[in-house]
Amino acid sequence: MPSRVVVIFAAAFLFAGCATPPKDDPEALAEFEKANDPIEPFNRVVFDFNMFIDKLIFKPIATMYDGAMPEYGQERVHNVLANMRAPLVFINDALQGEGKRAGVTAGRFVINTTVGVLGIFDVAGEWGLEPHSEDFGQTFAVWGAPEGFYLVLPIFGPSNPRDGLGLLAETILDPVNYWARSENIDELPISRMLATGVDIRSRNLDTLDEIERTSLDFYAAIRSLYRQRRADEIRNSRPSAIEPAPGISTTPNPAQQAESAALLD
Amino acid sequence: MFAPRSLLAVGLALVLVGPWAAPEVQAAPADAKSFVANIGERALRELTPKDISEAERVKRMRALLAEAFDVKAIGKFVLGIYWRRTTEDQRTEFLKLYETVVSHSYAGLFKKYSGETFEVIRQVPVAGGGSIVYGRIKRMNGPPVAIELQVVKDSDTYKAVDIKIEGISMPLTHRKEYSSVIRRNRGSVAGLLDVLRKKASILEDSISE
Repeated sequence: MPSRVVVIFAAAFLFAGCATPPKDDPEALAEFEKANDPIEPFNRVVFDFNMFIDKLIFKPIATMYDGAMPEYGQERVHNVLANMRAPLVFINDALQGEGKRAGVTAGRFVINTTVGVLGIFDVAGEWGLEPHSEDFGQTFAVWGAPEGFYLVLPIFGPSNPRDGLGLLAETILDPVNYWARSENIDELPISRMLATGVDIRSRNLDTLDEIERTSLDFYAAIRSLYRQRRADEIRNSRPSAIEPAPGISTTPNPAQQAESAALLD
Repeated sequence: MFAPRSLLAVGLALVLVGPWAAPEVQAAPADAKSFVANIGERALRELTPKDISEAERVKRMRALLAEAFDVKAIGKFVLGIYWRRTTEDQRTEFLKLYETVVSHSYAGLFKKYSGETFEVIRQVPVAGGGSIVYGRIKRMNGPPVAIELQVVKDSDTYKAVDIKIEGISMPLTHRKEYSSVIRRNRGSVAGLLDVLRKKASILEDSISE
């Protein structure tokens, strides 16, 4: 079965081919290159396929879950899944040299697994240890790996070679799944993956509907949203370099302040 | 002799006419931070009620957009390299349609909120002029939503020229999306306007009774 899927996507790739750059228009060509989507026709085929599967399977399941499960229950499920992810987040915090964030993640895992009863309650969050997310794609980026071209993966959606590789690393190296396999609890990784899918999709029902409703080109909107979101995650939401870097202190340096004040007046 | 009487008259006039003559006049915001705090509070107060019609929500969003955002500057940024390639008529039509689509889009995003509060965190000057104000929408459940507004001074008040939600700039997203539409229409802005016109009319139809 998986080999048949591979054949279908290989055929789609050959059939759809590559994007045609607007060669006779230098400005438009520059815009085209910034979009960094050389296999756009193929990506659009996969995107449409994903949308089809989503409307057929994922969205109905997520909608049912969202309707049947009270918000309180949804929060508990989300907390348990987030807690199972904490060891993976910890590894990536550490690999990125983020000692403080690694400490927060470790503290959260210990507190929420014990006091929070296997992660059902986010006690650590109430004690001031706020959650954050990390993954291998972000770690590779911090190490200097470029994102590469835009790539829409079947089922998993928007990605790029770097994040795709990160996803692969995650399925192999996730500590909780690793432990589950060694203990012969084979149902855990797969049921966890399905639950995560339902959790993520149900939390995005309104937002995705809204974007689709008001966008002119849903594919291009999602491409831009994904890139910007990833860039923000990789920076850990710190302001980007093109903006004046306020650094860790909240007051910018006086020279910058004077210059900006002069410009403001 | 005249003083107390005319003072009284002025006082009476202020009391009687004042509130009716200028019901909407608010003090000009002292700085970019309080300007953003005002818009954030106003957006949550006016756009989140569950008991208003969608038409009313969009109408309120439209008013907020016109008042607090520099729609022309944003529209120019969204069209990017194509702005220079459009006629004056096309620009006017584009801005009008863009305003409609954005009003529907933001009104839709605020619709699902209830009970949230907005707080401003800090303000940082930008090298090119203006400042970026960092704030967040605090929710009852779940982590806060990070909001960033770039604002520039506009006579005695401010105008927002960029808005980022969780690090995602809405104008930048529109720029990327719309340039893709133009490219797929063989580089024609008229092609974008066709698509935009259809979208705007679908959205407007969806709220008309």
